[in-house]
Amino acid sequence: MSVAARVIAFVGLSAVVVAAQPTQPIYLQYDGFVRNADNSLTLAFGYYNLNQVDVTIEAGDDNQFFGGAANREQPTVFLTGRHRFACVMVVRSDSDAELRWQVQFAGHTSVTTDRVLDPRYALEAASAAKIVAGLDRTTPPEGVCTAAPPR
Amino acid sequence: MPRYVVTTKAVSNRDLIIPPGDANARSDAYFTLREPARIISFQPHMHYRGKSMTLEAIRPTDGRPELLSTVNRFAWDWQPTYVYETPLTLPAGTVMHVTAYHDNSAANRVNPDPTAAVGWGDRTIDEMNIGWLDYFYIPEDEFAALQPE
Repeated sequence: MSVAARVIAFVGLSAVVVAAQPTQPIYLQYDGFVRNADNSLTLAFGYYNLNQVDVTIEAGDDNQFFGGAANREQPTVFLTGRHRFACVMVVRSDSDAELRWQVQFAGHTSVTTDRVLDPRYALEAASAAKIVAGLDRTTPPEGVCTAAPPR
Repeated sequence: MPRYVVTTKAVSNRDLIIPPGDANARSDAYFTLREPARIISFQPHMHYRGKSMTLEAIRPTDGRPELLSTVNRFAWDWQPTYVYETPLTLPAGTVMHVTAYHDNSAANRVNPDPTAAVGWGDRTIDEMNIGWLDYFYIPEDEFAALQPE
């Protein structure tokens, strides 16, 4: 291999390595809420992973909820791109809805809004239908993220 | 059969992400004209955090962007359609480039929540970055006839 070819190969390899490093922030987003018929609430949270690769952040100091239990079975694998409704959670009362989800990654802290019940965050009909479609409405697990979130 | 068929096109980028507090979040959207076309109008559409939007044409001949319109003081509650006095004539292959800026800072008086990361969505508290274009395609010979001598 010529020197020039080696240089090109090295530069190419470096570019691949750099591209694979997850150095970009992860932004959490509060997607909104639905007021259920029994006056409980269904909350939805999502995220944006701006990296080109998936990122794992275990539950703990870097991935936790504020307001009650810190670990609510929230996502720990953050797929690349935007993912609405990644965590859909039923809570019993308005006071139980005072939650904020926070992750710390790549030197950046992202936390969801504290304006959880601002009427402007009420989900429109199409999104509301999506997030309640996958829930067991008879005995939904309360206060934790449900599995298999709808997309 | 009508001579022209007007199309309304939403030039937008749904990968929009506006970080919390960002006063100048940029997003770009593109649309390529398949045939020679005349552009009738441009309407920026954003929500509470909309700040400004520009429309450029990137012609295939030289690739240089040409500024067609800029709305530099966008107001979410007053979204007029800007109709060109004479429809713009552009060749096939022209790329229409929309650049949008959003202000998600607390300094934006109508911002409902500067602490939130914001993306595409239907609610007004979500965001959009649509440059609406009304245009119609024309035959090549008509395009040639419209070129300056």
